[in-house]
Amino acid sequence: METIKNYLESMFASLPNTPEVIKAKCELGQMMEDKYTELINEGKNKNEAVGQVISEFGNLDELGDALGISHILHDQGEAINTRQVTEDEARAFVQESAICGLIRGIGVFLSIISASGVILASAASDSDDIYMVIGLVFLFCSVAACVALCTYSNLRMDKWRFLKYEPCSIDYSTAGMVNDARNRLHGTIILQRTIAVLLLCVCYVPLIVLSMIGDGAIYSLVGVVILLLLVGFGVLILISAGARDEGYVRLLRLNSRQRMEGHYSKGQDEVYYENPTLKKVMSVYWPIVTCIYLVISFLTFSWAISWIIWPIAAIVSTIINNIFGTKRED
Amino acid sequence: MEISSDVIRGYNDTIILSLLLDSPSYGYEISKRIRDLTDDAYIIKETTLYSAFTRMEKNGYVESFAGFADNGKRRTYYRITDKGRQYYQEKCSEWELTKKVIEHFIRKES
Repeated sequence: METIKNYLESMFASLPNTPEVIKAKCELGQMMEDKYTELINEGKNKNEAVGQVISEFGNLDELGDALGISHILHDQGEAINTRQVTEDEARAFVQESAICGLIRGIGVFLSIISASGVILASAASDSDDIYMVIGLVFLFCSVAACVALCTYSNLRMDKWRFLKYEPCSIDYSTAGMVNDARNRLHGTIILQRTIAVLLLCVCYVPLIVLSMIGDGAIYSLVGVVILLLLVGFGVLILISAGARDEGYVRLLRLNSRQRMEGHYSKGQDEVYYENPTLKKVMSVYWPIVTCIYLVISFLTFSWAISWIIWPIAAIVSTIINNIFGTKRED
Repeated sequence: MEISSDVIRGYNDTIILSLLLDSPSYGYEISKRIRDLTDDAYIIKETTLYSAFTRMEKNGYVESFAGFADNGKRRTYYRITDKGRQYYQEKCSEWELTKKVIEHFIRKES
């Protein structure tokens, strides 16, 4: 039966996604299924039954007039323009997104913990300035490493730019493969996200516990460093899990909703803004937030609290999306 | 010998309507009955059947309604309308005439 379904899907793959076409596909599917069941009941083996059903299916050209799509059946020009992403490419892309997500995550992790050297050095401030120098070196090195890692991961992803800028499509079986893989991974990604959120939630605990145990500044400063580590790990996990999922979503979104190949990601389309000013502001939203975060953090040096900007920024962006954003309907 | 689909095309509607005269039916049942009644001489393709259904529904000869199969699956059933019965009668007389005309040119002795 799977073969028959795949056959039907591939026959319909390049047709427009209209109510007539969907209805025709359902009904032809019903007929084929009925016939298949009957043939099996008559004692035919699976291969014979599948062969007979497919050979007696007929020709889609006959449906042209019934579906108002004869012009499409006879004009395949449009189909040539889209670049077909092969199954191997799809696999490679998914893998690459995961790796680059991890690299980017490590970069961000380093930038979050970058200040910890300076913090620890200031705890030991009564001794030499050498600690402070080491701390500062660590700070600049980790910021530099963050920039380097993010740039590297962007460069690595560069060869996949065509997925974003060229019209691409994936065929039905590849889309199914990607969707299955994504569903299998779903549990892992949820687990990762839960762990990350837990880390972000409990990050204050060591600081509180440590400052209760002893009253020296060293305790609370070590607490702050642990806090930064926990936040760093949390964000690292969030970024790499997000990038992994995003790889699948990008592939599944390739197929336009106007065709039958299977557009899986309902409701996950990018948000568009009607208002041009808002559109410009929103396109640099995250860089702005990053700037604010870094400026506030470096000016006040309150790394222990300034990370709260991130969750707030995320909530604000969701609110703006929901109020002003419109999802594109093709 | 296989029947040519070009010849029979004009009468697919007649065949389907005749099977709907007594009771409503659905796609596979109709194709099966056509096959059984003709002793496997004419096997209607699924796409042919479906395009006949949509065309006749557009012309008002049949109506479709949702029904359920024995296993609880949804299925589209078709029933003939009065207009469809009238069209069927016309097609029957047309066939009688056609048959009579063509008969003149068929040489039995060869």
